[in-house]
Amino acid sequence: MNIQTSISHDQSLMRMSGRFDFNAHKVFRETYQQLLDNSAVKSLTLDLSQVEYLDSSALGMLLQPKEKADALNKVIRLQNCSQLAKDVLAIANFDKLFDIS
Amino acid sequence: MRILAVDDTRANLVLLQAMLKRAGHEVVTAENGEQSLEVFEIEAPDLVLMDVMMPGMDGFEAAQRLQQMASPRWVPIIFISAAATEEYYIKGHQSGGADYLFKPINQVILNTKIEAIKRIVDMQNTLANQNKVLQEYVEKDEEERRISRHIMEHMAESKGLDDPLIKYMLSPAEQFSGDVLCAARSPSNRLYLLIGDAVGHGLAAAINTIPISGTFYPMVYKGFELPTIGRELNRRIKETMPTGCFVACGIVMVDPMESYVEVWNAGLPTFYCIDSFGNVMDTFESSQLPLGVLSGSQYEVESQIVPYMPGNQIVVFSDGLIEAENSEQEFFGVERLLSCLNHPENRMDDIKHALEEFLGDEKPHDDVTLALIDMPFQDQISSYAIEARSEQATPQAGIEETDDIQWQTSFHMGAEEIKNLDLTPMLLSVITQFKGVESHNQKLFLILSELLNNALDHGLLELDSSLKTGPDAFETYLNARHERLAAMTQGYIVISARKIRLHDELILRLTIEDSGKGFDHKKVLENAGESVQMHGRGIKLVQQLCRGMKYSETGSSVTVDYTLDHLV
Repeated sequence: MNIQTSISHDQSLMRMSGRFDFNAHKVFRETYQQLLDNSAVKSLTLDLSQVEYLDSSALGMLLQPKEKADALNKVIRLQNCSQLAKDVLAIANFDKLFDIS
Repeated sequence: MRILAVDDTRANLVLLQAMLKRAGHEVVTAENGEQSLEVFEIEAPDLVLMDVMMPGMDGFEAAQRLQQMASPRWVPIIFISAAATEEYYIKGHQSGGADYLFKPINQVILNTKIEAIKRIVDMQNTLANQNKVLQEYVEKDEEERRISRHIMEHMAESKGLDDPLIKYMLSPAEQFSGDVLCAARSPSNRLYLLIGDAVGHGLAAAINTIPISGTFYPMVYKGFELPTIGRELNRRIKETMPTGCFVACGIVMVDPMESYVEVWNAGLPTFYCIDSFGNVMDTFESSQLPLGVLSGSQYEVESQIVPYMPGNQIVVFSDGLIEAENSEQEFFGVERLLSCLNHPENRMDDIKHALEEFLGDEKPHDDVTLALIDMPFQDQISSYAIEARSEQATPQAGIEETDDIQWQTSFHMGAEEIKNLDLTPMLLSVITQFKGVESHNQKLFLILSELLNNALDHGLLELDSSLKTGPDAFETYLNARHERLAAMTQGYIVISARKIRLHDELILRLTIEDSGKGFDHKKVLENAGESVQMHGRGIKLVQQLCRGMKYSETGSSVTVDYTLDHLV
């Protein structure tokens, strides 16, 4: 998986592409940690538009930045979810946890 | 470095030794090929400087022998020769030499070559050390896996899955399964089946399933309700597992006696209820977050209740089944699964064959789990019913007063407690602590839960037992019950238990009294006789299990005597 990041004002963005599964674990964690640890950043948006595949480990990984963001009082949201991503998120009822668009 | 210098000419050897010592090396020597092998074995040098032309075993042969001795380690050997020919140079390398030096030896070139070799030796040593660490790691890992597998296999109780109502398949993608399937019967003979799918697969996922079976079995055996079990499972997983480790989970509860089925799906693919022709009668979509995401206080279990329809079957499975991929990157999918259900007797085999055929040589990339739960016709289930029906068919004795009390206790449960607690298992867990009571757990569970249900339904909630007959009776009744229970703000139930000695019997006397206006208990008993499908037969069963039973005139209080033991 590839992750591109950008920060504008207090908003940060992670644009992910490729397969989002357990192999993406390390790069995903390092990236969101760095963004959320930045004190200027108030929100983190995960853009899933280029994600070709995501499995249940990916869902598990999404919970980690969620927990960290909640603890730091920062906002986290998912955007541009593909239909596949939406389906996977819906089965797990993650729409109850995340702001998904 | 420790260097072995080999030369048959003593003067050359002395010269070489001096040069090496000057460069700070430790030197051992040999004066011919044979001797070089002995010294090599004893001194284990890092590098060998080998003269080529020696009487007996020449340098090339000695070099080859040394390499064989040291194998699989590679020994750096530098040949020294006066013959600076191409042929010698090639032969030197072919014999396993690392480099070639020509006489007379130049100190600077010698030092440079040794330095170059040292870098290779250092690299080789580092690699060897890493390899050793890695090898140890692999061995340790294998051993740990062996132990883990043993523990997991012995922890998973599979005997509950042998239930005649269940057919199942479990097929892990790796050595360990991240899917879990458990089944058990409650004291009132309800069947509970749990299916779980932990994030990922392999050992890490399998570990996530440990708290599940460890929580599920004891709670079912104690008779807790599905929502209570679900909440506790969520709490245990949330508390024990790191963030990101969650378990999609579902429970199907079949109660053939009370004629209903309760289904809960948190994060798994939709479950299906199908009739004997394979038509989909009901679907049970995932309505909630998987276990281990929300903390205990935030998690409410939302289950669905449907009537027990003999001949129907519930189909539950993990996503590994419908996402099994063939070589054309197609998923097995729900459509294919549902098309395998036309023959009720062969469904499991038909699904297995269809999956095998679909996959061809491919292997599923995730754990595949599937279970079918039967709803047999009534005449088939009578054999599973509590065997006590004929056992205590003694004529009903009256409730006789006595002062011979061995112990007694009572509980007052207010409206909030009645709403939020699973009263029967909770009270029973206290009562069964007393000596001689535990072995009657199953029958007492039935008695207590029936009496408590009557006190709640007819006493506090004032549900008319006539609601239980007629079309759609079941749903009407449950809906009314649900609404009134939610609205209840006052009222109480008092449960008293005492162990008494009466004539030659040890008796557990239970009195259940509610704050309701009372109800026509005679009618409840009559209805019980008529209805086969619906609620109410329970009270008849209580009568059969107990030595005596007496309702107060209004119906708001009932006392039963249960014989624990006969004194000889």
